[in-house]
Amino acid sequence: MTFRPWRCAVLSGKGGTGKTVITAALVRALAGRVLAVDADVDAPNLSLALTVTRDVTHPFFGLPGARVRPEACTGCGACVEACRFSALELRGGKAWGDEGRCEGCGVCAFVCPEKAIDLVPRSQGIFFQGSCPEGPFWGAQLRPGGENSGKLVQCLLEHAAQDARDRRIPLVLIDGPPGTSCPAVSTLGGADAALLVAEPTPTGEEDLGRMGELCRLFAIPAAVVANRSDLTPRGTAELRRRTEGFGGTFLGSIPFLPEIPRLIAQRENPLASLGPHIAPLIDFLHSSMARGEEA
Amino acid sequence: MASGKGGTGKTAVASSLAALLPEVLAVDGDGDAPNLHLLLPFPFRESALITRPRPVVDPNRCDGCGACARACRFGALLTLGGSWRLLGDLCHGCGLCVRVCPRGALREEEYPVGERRRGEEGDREILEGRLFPGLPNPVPVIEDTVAAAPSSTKPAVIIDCPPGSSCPFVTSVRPAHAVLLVTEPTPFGLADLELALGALKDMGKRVGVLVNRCDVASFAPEELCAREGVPVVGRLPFSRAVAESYAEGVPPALRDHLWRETLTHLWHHWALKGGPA
Repeated sequence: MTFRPWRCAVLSGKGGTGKTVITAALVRALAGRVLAVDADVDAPNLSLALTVTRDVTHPFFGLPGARVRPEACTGCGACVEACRFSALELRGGKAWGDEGRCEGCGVCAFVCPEKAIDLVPRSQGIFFQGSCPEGPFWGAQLRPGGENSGKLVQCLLEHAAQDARDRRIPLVLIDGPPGTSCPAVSTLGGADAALLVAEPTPTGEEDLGRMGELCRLFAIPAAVVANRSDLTPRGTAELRRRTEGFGGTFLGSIPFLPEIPRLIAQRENPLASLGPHIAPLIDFLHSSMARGEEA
Repeated sequence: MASGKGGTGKTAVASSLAALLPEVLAVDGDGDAPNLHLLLPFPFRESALITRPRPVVDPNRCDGCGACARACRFGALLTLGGSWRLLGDLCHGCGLCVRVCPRGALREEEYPVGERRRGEEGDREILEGRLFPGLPNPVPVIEDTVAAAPSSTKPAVIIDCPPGSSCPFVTSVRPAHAVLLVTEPTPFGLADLELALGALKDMGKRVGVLVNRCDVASFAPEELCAREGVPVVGRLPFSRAVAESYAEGVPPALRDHLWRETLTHLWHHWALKGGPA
């Protein structure tokens, strides 16, 4: 029987609901049995809430992008006309490529009658293997303004899962990106379950609903926790209703804890404060991990 | 209105300014989580589909040679055993496959990826783009939505941007003259602010920083802002009343006078001061 770690992604749809703080507390609570991954490659913060050392850094290359050789370009404009992403324009009678807009499709190189456009590798960021006192840590950083965040997430999660298999670590806990588009889709693609951190506000409820539907679409079981549940008079009724709507499990609520930002700022363990409130989350991870090991 | 980190208060600030200032068109540039309308619930009057081109095959002409699949850099085409298949989620709509097909068996059709809607109430106006559920790429939706803003008669536009610092963020801030980064004084807020400043570096924008919940922790962004030559143009303390207002779907500046004063001052003395670049 091959050992297969169980992979849980912490996601939210809406940003700033508390994914990273909760992930960090869970990593601390499950020390020794967990491999932590920061898959928010656009704005990675998990390493700020743990004590992480970076061991091996790997470059991440997205698709090669267009580069014009000006000496060969006659300024005919065929590439400008063919590019669907407005990534090329004529400047001083020569084609000029805007790397920030180039998606790397290669249409320009195909249509150029002078073969004056090369597709050259572009570094889009890095991913790294490291460790924290609680266990191995994998993280990544997309170049600011970079492309292919979904591919970087996929690459990161594949490496992390392999590492967990090699070391026989039963749980891969993934701090995911906000939103429900490419990087979030890739995060779900590399997970066995999702833990959704929601906030009882109209925007938080809407974004939880969207995230939950995405989980349903991918057939990934979703569990929901309401964060800062007492900060608003709304209560969690609507979050529970939405959770039922997409077939998720409502695990419980965490109140607003004003000391958390300070504890995080001082890299102190927020577990003492969060402990009683995240017990249902830890139970959820334990029981799911156990099922994973039996499988 | 952008931030790097999510949940710092972009939408609260954008909705507040749009609620206070009748001259403003509110644009939701967060194509995969558009929330501005929840705080500015003006009835939608018109909508338009946002589409991207996608290839379709004429099976009578396709001989399964695989030239298109070899050319596609996104791995969006499969030609197995002579049958042709498109993996729609991977297609960027670049049109290369149509160009390389030696038998002219491919043509393009517009495929809907989202919806752009315009809402109005009295003299107030909102524009939002919404990516259809399950689709991975919000960029075409954001691009379409921000490009539609000039069709309004309003003289000023506020764009509520997505979090992060990658392509959706860059697409949403590209047409802006000025970018207000809403941050919070936590290690996370500071780290993500630095990334957003990095992404904005060579874009030639006027950038200002608004510190929200300025009293919750001590990671003040002043030093970073000074190093980057970016001014801190406002500070707002944590307030339970503001959180409650947001939770009730009311732009906080309509309830809280400090928000009202800080944001109108910032609008007139920072945002409009430079004028269009």
